[in-house]
Amino acid sequence: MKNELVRQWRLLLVAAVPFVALCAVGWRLVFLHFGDHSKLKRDKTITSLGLRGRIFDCNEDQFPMAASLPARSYRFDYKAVNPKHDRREIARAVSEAFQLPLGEVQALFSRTNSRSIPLGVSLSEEVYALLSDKRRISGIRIDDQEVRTYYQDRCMAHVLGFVNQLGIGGAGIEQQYNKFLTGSPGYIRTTVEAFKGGQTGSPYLENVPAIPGADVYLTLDHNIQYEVENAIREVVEQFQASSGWAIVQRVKTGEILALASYPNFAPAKYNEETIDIWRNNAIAIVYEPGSIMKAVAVAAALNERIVTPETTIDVGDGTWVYAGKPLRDHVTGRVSVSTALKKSSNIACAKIGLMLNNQRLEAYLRAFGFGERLGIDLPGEERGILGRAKDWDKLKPTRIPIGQGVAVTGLQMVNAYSTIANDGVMMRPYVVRKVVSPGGGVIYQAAPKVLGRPVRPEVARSVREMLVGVTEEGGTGKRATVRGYSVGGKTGTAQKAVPGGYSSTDYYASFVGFVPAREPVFSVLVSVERPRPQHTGGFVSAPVFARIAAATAQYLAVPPDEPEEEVAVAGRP
Amino acid sequence: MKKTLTTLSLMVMVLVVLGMAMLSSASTVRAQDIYGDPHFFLKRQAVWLLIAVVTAVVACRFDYHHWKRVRWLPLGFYLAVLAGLVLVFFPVIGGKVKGSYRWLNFGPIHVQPSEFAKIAIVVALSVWMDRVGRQVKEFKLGLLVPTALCGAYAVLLVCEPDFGATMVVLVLGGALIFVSGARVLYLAGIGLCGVVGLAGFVATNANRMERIRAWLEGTGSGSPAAYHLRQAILAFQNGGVCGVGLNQSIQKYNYLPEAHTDFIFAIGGEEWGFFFSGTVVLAFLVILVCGVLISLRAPDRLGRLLAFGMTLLLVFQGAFNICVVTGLAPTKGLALPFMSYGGTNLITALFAVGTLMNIGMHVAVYDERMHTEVVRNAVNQL
Repeated sequence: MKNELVRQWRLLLVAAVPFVALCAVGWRLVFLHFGDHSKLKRDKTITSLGLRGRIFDCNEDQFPMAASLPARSYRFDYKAVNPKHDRREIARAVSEAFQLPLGEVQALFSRTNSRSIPLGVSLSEEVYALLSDKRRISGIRIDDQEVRTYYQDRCMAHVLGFVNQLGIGGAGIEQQYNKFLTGSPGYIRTTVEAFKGGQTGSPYLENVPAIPGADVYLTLDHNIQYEVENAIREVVEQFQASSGWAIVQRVKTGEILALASYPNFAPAKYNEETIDIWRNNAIAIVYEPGSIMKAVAVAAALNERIVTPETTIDVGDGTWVYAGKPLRDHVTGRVSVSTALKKSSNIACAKIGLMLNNQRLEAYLRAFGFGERLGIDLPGEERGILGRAKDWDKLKPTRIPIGQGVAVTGLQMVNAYSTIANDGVMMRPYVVRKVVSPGGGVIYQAAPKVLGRPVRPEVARSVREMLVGVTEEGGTGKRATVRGYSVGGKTGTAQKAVPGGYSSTDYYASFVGFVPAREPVFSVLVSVERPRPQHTGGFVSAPVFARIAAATAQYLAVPPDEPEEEVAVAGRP
Repeated sequence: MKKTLTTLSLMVMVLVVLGMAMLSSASTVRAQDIYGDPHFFLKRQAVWLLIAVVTAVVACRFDYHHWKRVRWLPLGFYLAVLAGLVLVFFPVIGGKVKGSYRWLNFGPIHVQPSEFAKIAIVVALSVWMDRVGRQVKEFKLGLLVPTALCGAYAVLLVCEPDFGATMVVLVLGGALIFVSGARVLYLAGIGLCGVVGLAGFVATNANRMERIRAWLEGTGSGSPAAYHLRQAILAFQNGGVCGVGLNQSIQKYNYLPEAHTDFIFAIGGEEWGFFFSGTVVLAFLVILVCGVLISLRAPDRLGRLLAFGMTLLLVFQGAFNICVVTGLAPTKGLALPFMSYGGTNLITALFAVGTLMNIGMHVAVYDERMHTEVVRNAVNQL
């Protein structure tokens, strides 16, 4: 056999060649399989929108205040145009799809400084069908995009806020509840075929479904809001005011029923306006309230048993010089505390402030929520300006009770009156009632929260009685009367603080009150900034209050507590 | 010898079964794209397998001595294939498909004569060299005539063009001439001419140069010619040791061209990992060893040459294909015997196996006869 092998050396030599080759390739395969084991990435990810949650008002209507709809954005990339396609034909299709003049589209198409020229955003399936036709159209990138829609246009703009271009809430509820409202986009990861880039038949590598955002339910009612917005717009326009705001708050719970500011904006087109229009004036403007503060000072004095409603205070001849500064008044002689409030006597209230002394005055103001944020669930709330009592000069205790030398927000003011209306129990103001997940689970449920009890119930009741006098004959707020209801409230006319003193032409005209006065259901604040030519709260704001209060009372079906003769007669055949 | 034959047939069965399994996965994408039926190629291959098995059985029963006894048989076979290689250039029966003349059309059946040329050259040279006998050392009989036999095929195959088949024919021819004992000096002269000719042939064509260059630079080359190789290497790496699992290949989704034919080995490596590629390489090694054993113990010179030629036909193609797929040889269209899709390929491969078996069975017969003869002589002496 050995001989045989030697004789066949040629055969063995030739056979050795493939033998060696196979051994070599085997060795190489060991390296290929065992070394550098890297998984191939032959996949693409197809994302799907996680739509932003909706915002409903308290009616939970079929149509929400805000909702996101799935749309598509169309962008032009001049480098992606297939040379086989006719650019003019593409331009024609785009002009037809977006109703743009052909010349304008061609101008866009001739731009070469960007590969992503926005053409438009559309919800329409027809537009998509027209522009996604691969046989005729190329160079147009189509992406899923959600469109935030506000069904009632400008209604509740300042409460709702807006969503910026990155899809993040930039103001209002959209900002405050962004993390609840934001949906989570889903995606499908699938293997891709080489030539056409299409999906292969193999099952998805990953499939993460999109989760829409949670829905937010407001305490606001768009019916009341509508009336309030109209009222505030009309008063601002009528008196050529620079702005105005109004708040309607439910007394028992602290929930906000309406909150409006004018000028306003359309949330869907928020970028057509500037930041000072986006600002929610009702909670973000800090202003000296004027006489509406008097009720708080009186409530404090009553609570401290320093005075009773019948205690008389000497006002003198209408001018009182204290600490070298005169304080003028349109009331003279001796007036009772309740008359002082009814007629809005400056000197009487200033003297009450002195009786209280600095520490107690500051403590009561803070107890009523001034100088600190109330914690409403809206962004941008201001704390107001209330200095420490030990830092006050001599004049301060005489000016703070009449609403000077202290700055507040509209919300603080209306909340203080709600506290008086709610038997001295201060509630936290809030605008969101609940947040509901897409599955229907309640994620967040707001509950009324007591912030404090600054005054005793009987003190609150007696202040309410005094405030009813304001709207009665001889009071400053006669124009605030509401047919069928007793109204308690207070006018306020404050000179606007300007650098170096007070403006003699610019005022804040306010009225704040509650209805019905005996068993209050809701309170309303109306403030108008810089009205002209008339500028008093009693003239400018009280009628707006009346209008809002009447509409709200009727809408909420509050039983009238002061049936008038005619009404009664008409009611009984 | 029985064990050798059993091992051989077992290895062939393993390769055929693995091949069908891989084809069932690797061909689906192309089949779906072209015919709308993912199993189109698989069904066809199943039919071809049936025909190939019948061919193998026939070859196994067909006494290889007939090639010698019936004078016109090898010549007729050689000439028939030659005619086939000429006919591909004629329209109707032949014709150009994807830039080359490779197919003969008999109604619905398409045949590649180049595959048969590989078998025919082995048969023709084996018979010739057997007949020449000791005169093999002469220049004319031992070198010129067999070279001419190879050359005729090679020229026609180059014209097709089918460089893979050309290479196989030349390699088989050269090996058989060398093994049968031609003078090394003559052979070296012819071989040198061949190498120079090949170098010139490659150098004159930019496309071929590019392929060689891409191969030399390896997978790092950005050349499009290296694309196949890059994708094949990725397939092995993606598979890792255990593979991604049957039908889980990613590379078959048109990343790896010719996934069901020339590069089916890479898909196998991706789906079943080292288990697959190791098994296949081992199977070819075992086939080589079995073939050489049969060849060494063949009862006569014709049997030896025929067995060696058939073995080389199978193993050379297999080894070369795997070398191409793993980047050890430049890209050349050469099918993997038993596994790549293609009827003619399968039939010729199984025919070669059948012939090997036949020779192996003669060894057994021969052994037996020798044994009885020895015993008889011993008895007679007594």
